[in-house]
Order: sequence, then structure tokens, then C-alpha cells
Amino acid sequence: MALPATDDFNRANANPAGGNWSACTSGGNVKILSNRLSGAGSSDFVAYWNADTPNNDQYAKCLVPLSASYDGGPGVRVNYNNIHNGYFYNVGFGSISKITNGSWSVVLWGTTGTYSATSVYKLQAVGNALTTFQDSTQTGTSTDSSFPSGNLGIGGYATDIIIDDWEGGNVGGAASSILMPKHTYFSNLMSL
Amino acid sequence: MTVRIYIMPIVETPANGLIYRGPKYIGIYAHGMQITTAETGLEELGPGMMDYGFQKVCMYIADVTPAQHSILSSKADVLSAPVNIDNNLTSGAVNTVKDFLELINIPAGWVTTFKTYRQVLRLIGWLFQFMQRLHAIYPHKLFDGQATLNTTYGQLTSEWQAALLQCGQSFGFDTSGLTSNTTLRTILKFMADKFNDQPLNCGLITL
Repeated sequence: MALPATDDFNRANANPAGGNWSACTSGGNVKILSNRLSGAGSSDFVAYWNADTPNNDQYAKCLVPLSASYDGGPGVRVNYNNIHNGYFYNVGFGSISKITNGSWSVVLWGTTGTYSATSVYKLQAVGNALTTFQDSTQTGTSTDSSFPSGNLGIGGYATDIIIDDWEGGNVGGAASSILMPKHTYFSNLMSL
Repeated sequence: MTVRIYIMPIVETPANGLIYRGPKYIGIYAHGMQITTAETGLEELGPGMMDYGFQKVCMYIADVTPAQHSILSSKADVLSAPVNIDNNLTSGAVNTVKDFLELINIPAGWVTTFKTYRQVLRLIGWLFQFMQRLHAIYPHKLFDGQATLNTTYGQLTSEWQAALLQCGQSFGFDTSGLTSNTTLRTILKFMADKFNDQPLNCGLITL
């Protein structure tokens, strides 16, 4: 499949989610529930999109329409060198967390912005810089060098976090959400 | 409120099948649960930190009140940087800083009165970045009670030797100068220097 990858989770309930989603085995599983993605157990989960291998500079973004008071959100560089590694955006807490071989810690605390169920939350990794966005507004940035590469994914805790309309891709690659209508494309060409 | 920088211990608390790591004295609240309790007066501070890989040491940067700073700076196992980190270290501070860093396995022979606090913290920060990658490659503590800064490359296990090489090379560093007699003190300082004194974005502040 080509990046950016997208998943709206609009399909029948499934536990585990299966398909293009693989849960890291030392964390909990993920499931499809009511056309959204959720944790399936009572522990932390990190899951990754198994259909594509992204570049090292990558992003993941999604809606987090429920449970803002809990933690979880889009994940990047999941599964680097170890089944339970990765960074994820704790949307409810306003932080970037990392799990390193089963050890959880906070890389950045206090991302800005006010939670909205309709906002798109994005975590981006470029070099050793991790940056969070709410819609198009940067909400935080810091440095961590643990994982130079890995898979696109999500992370969270148990069933606290519900994710919808996920997208993951390469930084600098085309974003599926900003496709231009054909007539705009051709009119731009004409003006060159 | 003032943004301040501390070098301080990490506490590790098992829960939910994970090891939760956070700055000592600062509470960890995750998943709607209080994993560790904050020292009285520090409840409002968050657990974000730059860890020294799996070593139980971190750089903690927070926007603190005078009262919060007073609590943190009174701890014997916390090293506080001054507000103005662009001043040079005094000779007294050099001794304090060197003793403190060496005790927690951070090579510090290079700290002199010719350095500003920013320069010292920046190099420590890059050393932490190196150690983060090293421990993601080989997930054990390098300084586990047996190895010290004076341990040589040749005395390390083959797994650690391979991890050090892989880690350095993953950053694009030339590791050909490493010999069996090179100490960890030299290797770690060498690796941190290879980051070329680049500014280091630490969230609330750039070193």
C-alpha cells in the first residue's frame, strides 16, 4: 500500500482489530468498536500499521473523539528494535510519552491547546525532534533520540482512548486530506 | 514562575505490566491513576524529562515557582542550574558539578571555568541523547553496578561493544578510533562531542 495510509475504522466490530493493525505483544491488544479503534484490554497498548514501511521522518494523526481525560493518541517510530517501543501523543494529558522496552516515561509535558473532540491530533518525528500539532497549530516540541525509525501507529491505555480517522505517512509526502480538485490543479498549471 | 534546569534521579515504579519512570520528587499521574506521589509542594509539576537512557538520571526542565525551586534545590541528589545559564561556572561550581556528575556516571573532567552552564548542559543533553539510543538498541543499564566510567571497551561484553558501535554509527559517527583500552569515560565524551555543540531543543528551553 502507498503512504499516506488511512483508516476510518468503519467496519464490523473485531477483537482483536486485525487487518493492517498489529498490537505489540507485550502491551494490550486493539479492537474495532463502533467504527472506531480502541484498546481491548486493561493495560497499555501500542499498535502499529503493518501494511507500510515509512521513512524515518514520519507522522501519524487522528481524531481522539472520546475520553480526553485519559491518555493516548497517534504514535510514531513504534516497534523500533523491540516489540514494545515507540512514541505517542497523550492527547488527554497534553504530553509526548515513550515506551522503551516496556518502560514508560514522558518526553514532553504541557503541550498547548484546548482539547476538542473534532480536532486532528498529530505527532511528527523528524530527525530527533518530536513535534505535536492540534489541527494545523504546533502545540509542542522536544528532542529524544531513542528511536531513529519504526512504524506508524497509535498508543494508549486500555479502553480509555478511542481513535478515529487515523492517517500516517512520511513527512514531506503528500497528505491525503489536502487533495486538490482537478480543475484547481489544471488552472495552476495554466498559470505557470 | 521561572524556567529552571535540574539534573536529578529517576524513580522507577512497576505498575500495569510496565515500569513507569519519572523524575524523583515529581508525581507520575497516568491512566487516571497516581503511579507515584509528588513531594509536598511539587504536586503541580509535570513528569516530562530528558532521560539518561535507562540510567536512573534525568535532566528535568520546568517552569517553577520560587517555593518549588527551593524544595528541589534543597535535595542533596539534585543539581540545580542558575537561571542565567550563559554565565561561566565559578571555580567552586566546577568542583561541585564535577563531583556530582561523576557520581552518577557522567564524565565531567572537561568541565572548567571556561565553560558556561549552557555549554555544560548542552553537552550533557547530547550525552543523554546518545544513551537513549544506546539503551533502545540494547535495553539494559550500561552502569549496572559493575561497569564504571573507567571500564574499558575491551572489558565490556560483546553485546555492549556491538551496541556502542551500532549506536555511534546510527548517528553517523566515525567509531574507528575505538580501541580495547578506550574507557567509557572517553567513549561517552567522544560521542557527545560528535553532536558538534548543536543547539538542543528541550521543550521549554533550547540549550
